[in-house]
Amino acid sequence: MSRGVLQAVGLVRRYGGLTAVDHVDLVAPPGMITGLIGPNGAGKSTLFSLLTGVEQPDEGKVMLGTTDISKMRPDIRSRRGLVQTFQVPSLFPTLTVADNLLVGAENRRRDYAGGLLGLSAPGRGRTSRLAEGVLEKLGLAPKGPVTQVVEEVLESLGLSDVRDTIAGTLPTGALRLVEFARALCARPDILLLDEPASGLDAEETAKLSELLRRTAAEGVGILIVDHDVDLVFSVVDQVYAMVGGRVVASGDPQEVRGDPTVRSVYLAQAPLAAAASQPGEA
Amino acid sequence: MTTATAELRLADARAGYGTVEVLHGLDLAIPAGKVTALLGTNGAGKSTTLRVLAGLIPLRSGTLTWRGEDITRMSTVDRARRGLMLVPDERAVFATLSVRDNLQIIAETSGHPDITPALESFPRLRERLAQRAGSMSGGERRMLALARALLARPSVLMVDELSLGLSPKVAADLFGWLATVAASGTTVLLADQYTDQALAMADLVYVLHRGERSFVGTPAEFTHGAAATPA
Amino acid sequence: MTSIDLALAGISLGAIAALSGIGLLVTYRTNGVLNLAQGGIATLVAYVFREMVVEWSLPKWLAAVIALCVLSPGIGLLLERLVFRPLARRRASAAESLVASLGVLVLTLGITAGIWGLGSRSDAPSIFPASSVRLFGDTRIGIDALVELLMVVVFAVALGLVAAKTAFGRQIRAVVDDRQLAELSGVPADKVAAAGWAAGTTMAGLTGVLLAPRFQLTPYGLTLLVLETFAVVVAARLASMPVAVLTALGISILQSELKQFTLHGDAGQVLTVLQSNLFIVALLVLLLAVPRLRELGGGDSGATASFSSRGAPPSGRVGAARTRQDYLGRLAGAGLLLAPLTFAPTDLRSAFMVPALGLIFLSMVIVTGYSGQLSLGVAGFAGLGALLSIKMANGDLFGLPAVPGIWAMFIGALLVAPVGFVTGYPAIRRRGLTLALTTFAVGAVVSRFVFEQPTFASGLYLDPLTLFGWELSDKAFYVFELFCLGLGLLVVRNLHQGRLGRALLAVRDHSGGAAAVGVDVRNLKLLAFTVSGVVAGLGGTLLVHSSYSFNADDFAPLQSLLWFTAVVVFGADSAVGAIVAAAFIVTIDVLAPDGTSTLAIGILALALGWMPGGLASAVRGMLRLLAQYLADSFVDPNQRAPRPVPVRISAVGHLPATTGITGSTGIPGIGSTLGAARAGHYARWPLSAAPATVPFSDARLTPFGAELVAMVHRYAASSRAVGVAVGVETSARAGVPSPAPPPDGGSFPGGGR
Ligand SMILES: Nc1ncnc2c1ncn2[C@@H]1O[C@H](COP(=O)(O)OP(=O)(O)OP(=O)(O)O)[C@@H](O)[C@H]1O
Ligand SMILES: [Mg+2]
Repeated sequence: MSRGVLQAVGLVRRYGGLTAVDHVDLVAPPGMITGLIGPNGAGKSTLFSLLTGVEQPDEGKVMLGTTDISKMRPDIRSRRGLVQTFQVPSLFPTLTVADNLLVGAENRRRDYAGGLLGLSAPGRGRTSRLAEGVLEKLGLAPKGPVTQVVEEVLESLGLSDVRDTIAGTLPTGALRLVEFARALCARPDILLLDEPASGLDAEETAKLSELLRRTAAEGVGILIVDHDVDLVFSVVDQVYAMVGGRVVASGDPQEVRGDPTVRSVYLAQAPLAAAASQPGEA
Repeated sequence: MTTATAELRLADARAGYGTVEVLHGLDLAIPAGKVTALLGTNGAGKSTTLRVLAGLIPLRSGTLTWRGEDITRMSTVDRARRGLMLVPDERAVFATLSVRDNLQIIAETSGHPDITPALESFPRLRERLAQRAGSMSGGERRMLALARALLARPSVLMVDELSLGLSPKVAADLFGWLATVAASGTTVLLADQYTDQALAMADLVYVLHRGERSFVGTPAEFTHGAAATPA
Repeated sequence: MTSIDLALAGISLGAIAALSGIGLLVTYRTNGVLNLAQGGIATLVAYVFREMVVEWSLPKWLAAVIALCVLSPGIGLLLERLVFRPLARRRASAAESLVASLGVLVLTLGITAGIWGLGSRSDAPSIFPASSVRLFGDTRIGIDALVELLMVVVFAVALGLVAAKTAFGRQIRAVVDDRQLAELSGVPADKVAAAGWAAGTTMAGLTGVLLAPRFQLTPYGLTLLVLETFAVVVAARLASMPVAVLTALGISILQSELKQFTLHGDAGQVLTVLQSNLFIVALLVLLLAVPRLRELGGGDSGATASFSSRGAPPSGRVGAARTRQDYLGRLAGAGLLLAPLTFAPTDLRSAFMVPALGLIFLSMVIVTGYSGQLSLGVAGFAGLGALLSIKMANGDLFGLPAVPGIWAMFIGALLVAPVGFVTGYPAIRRRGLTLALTTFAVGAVVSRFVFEQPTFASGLYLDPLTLFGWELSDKAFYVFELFCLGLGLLVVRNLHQGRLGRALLAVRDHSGGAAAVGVDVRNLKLLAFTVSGVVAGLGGTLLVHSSYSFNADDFAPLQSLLWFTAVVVFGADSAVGAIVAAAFIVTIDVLAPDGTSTLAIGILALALGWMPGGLASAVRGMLRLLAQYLADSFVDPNQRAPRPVPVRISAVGHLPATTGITGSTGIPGIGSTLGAARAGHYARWPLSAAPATVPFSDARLTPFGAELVAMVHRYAASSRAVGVAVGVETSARAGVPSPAPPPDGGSFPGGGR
């Protein structure tokens, strides 16, 4: 299944003298949860921006399936199945939750052509089998107009209660969940999540972790950045660890967790002497 | 109250936003020179409490006293100048200013215009003195915010969600750093949901629930109580 | 004159432009406000100075001290305290501050014109002696130019040093960046901001006093002149003082040098216009060439979501309920619009302007209210639409055959589409102030190079309109206008509802987030500008037909600013507000002396600090408060939640804008969206807690009370942003049994949960 694999090939991004992302290669296959960990400032968010087109790489390219998408605008990449949530939630604050989701659903790739002007009937055109499968298994198969998809996503994420609430009035936990729901409505092949658990309390985090598993089980590829190590290691199938813009370890979660660099630089499990001597950061 | 000398005392405080009241008559006494943890789930009113203490939100009723003096009506600036320091959970650095300026401003207003102590505690900042604070990563911004608090030499330090967006190691380091600050006699008030680390260093624990106090006691009492009735 | 003489003549004007630019930069860098009122303040001070010297015969030095050291900074302090501090406290966007400064501009113009009239005066005194010094040979330079140049250097260096080298400079930057955080850091933000304003307005006053003797002193002329110096700050990218100074001198000298040339034919005409309009042209060229202004606050400062308190009409059930409720309002509106048909002929003719202006305002609702772009060039679009349609009707357009009047109107309006499209193009990459200035410059260039040129704008004649051979009577024309307005409303409605409306609002609210889910941000912006251009063009033609003549002044660049202010004041995202604004302006213009409507709008704009979201949202808020009050009086008092104490809106200004929402009702005591933002936070989470519809029966209401509360909730749900506060509050305090322990206050330690 080569369609939908997200691949970074030798990505580089420099800011002045600082190389924020330094020759990063990464593969995020569909149906799997890929973790991306690393200390603050390692370049994780920057890498996300490069993948989604918010920023342009200085070197390297981004592949989605067999297509080189490096030159495409973010909205086009999104319509091709690469959907992102942000470290700072990016909902449309004056719209209701339902309308936020509708925006996601209405602009997804299959309906897009001519759809902006209301020319295309909902559900018209070629639909990706993958996305259909995902939605079907989630119980979200498009039974009717887009509103139905939204309704079903709301239902399955337990958001029905707030469907008519103005998004801007929601607390952090809900914001993140709604942003996640909005991304789901866009029927992604690959979902990029930047710190989805930040600011969530324990209960909300547990809920999120379950959602992640469910989504991946339906065939969506997930790339997740988060500092909640327990969450990350409990859901991922593979992990990349970045330090100073470079990937220093990758692969099996347990191996990465045991990696000495990761332990000393990222997890607070280094030999005591090292931790004490450097209060700031190595 | 629990301790003889209360640094800050909030009595029957009501506050909120617009027509909505968030704190419904909260009583709080922050002991001097100790670490107090303010715990609660999202939406319990922790940040609102801290903003009330810092003077960002006016009290609708109730009083706030600081070492016995009524400061309910004192402006934010005056509170800050007299050593009451809040590190908010967001917008805690001047995004368009350089790292150096961010540090220098606070150093100058506190009367000790030397920023080296901050750079010693947070070496990462030394490499980034000229960088615009807004372009730093989420975690780096958090470090800068705390470095500023360090330079302010406050007598009361209030931190909202210390560990927000920080990698485990940095979070652990910062809790350690905060412990040294507290050990030097500064009164510390910590709002957090990361209960483990906050509990470990706290002398007194308050738990807020929907704008009201639902628990006050020592960490040990909290752990036992929590074990009996999971909150 | 030789080149050198011309250059020296240019220097003096350049120095004044530089001073104006320095003033603009000072206000912007200290307060984040691009002070469009700079020209108005300059004019006011210049008039007062003249009054003191000429009418009261005060010695010049004394008058100068009063004007520049007392009056000018005084104006700044007053503005800061009354207008801009409230805005800053509630973290208003730069766009709102821009509108407030427009309000100040309009107000100062109104005051000046009201006291001294619109006539021009040529006896403005100069503070310098009219002597000159010899440089070399026959070349002499005036004392004034020398002193002005000296002042520029001194101010630029001094201010530059303060900004870059002192602690105060750092504090200034901190305050503009984040006032709340500055206060938390112990920086006295109010004082710093006030100092910045005082310095800025002093420079403005100085500009006025220096400029006045060089030109005829008229309220509008001088104001525009100062507005043109915006080119200088754009070249400086809103940041660099030295660049501003050099640009001012450069443009001015170049403009002066152009005087030696004469050309014939069309080129000659262009040259003539260039000779006096180089600043405006430079403004446009620079805006298109300069990649990005160094706007404060990450360049997002122009986002206009803050003008609006609500999003799209909700989809689904709530929307349907709301539509039903709205029918009454629509009927009433339609009735009012039809009323002029019963008027006497002269009154009916006055009413012609309402639908025309209404359409122009609607075009701004599309661009500014719905898609969040600042557009200050609407008069240009309207005027182009008018001009093109008349020319087409006259058979005078690119050799095309004459087209009957009515069809020419529509074709003319459609021909504006490409212009709108092209103006929208820069909007893809630009936003905020850059975009505002770009659109202003487009409007100004069109005005100077097209509307004011005899080649284009003379020899026009308006034939009576005919439809299928029948000449339109006054009444029929008015009905036709209403038909056009209806068309406009239909367009607006389609842009605001359904998928397109949501997508536009998504772009307005968070363009990054919109792109992340596949919304085509670029094409949507272009679409908004194009459609808006057409609607404005149609409005423009109607305007010309209702006043029976094409008058370049009707479409002057200042007009755009006034119209924009009116639209924002009446609620930028409200189609009804746009039409009410038009009716308001026309009615006042008919009933009251000239300029009263301008003054009224200026005053309303100043009140924006206390009235976020404009009048439309204030009215919405009032209705809600009333409904809630009624409902509350019918709730069993024992069951009623403790009544929250209303707070001043400024308190809300202290909130971090966590969720990015900026709209709010803005009436003291009425829940602002921001407030509600936190309300949801505290009241209704986790999600599983309570169903959205609150079980009202729990609150034990009187039956009538229950019905009323239900109504409030329906209203709250439909008026959305403002409504949430009610919904949430009731669900938390009345509906759901509170799990919190009894408030006996002493249930610790260990006893609680
Ligand atoms: N526009 C910019 N100019 C200069 N440096 C930048 C810019 N954007 C990012 N950086 C730097 O690039 C590095 C990587 O930043 P990035 O935001 O990707 O980190 P991150 O891994 O997401 O960290 P965190 O976990 O704290 O969010 C940081 O050191 C940051 O300071
Ligand atoms: Mg990041």
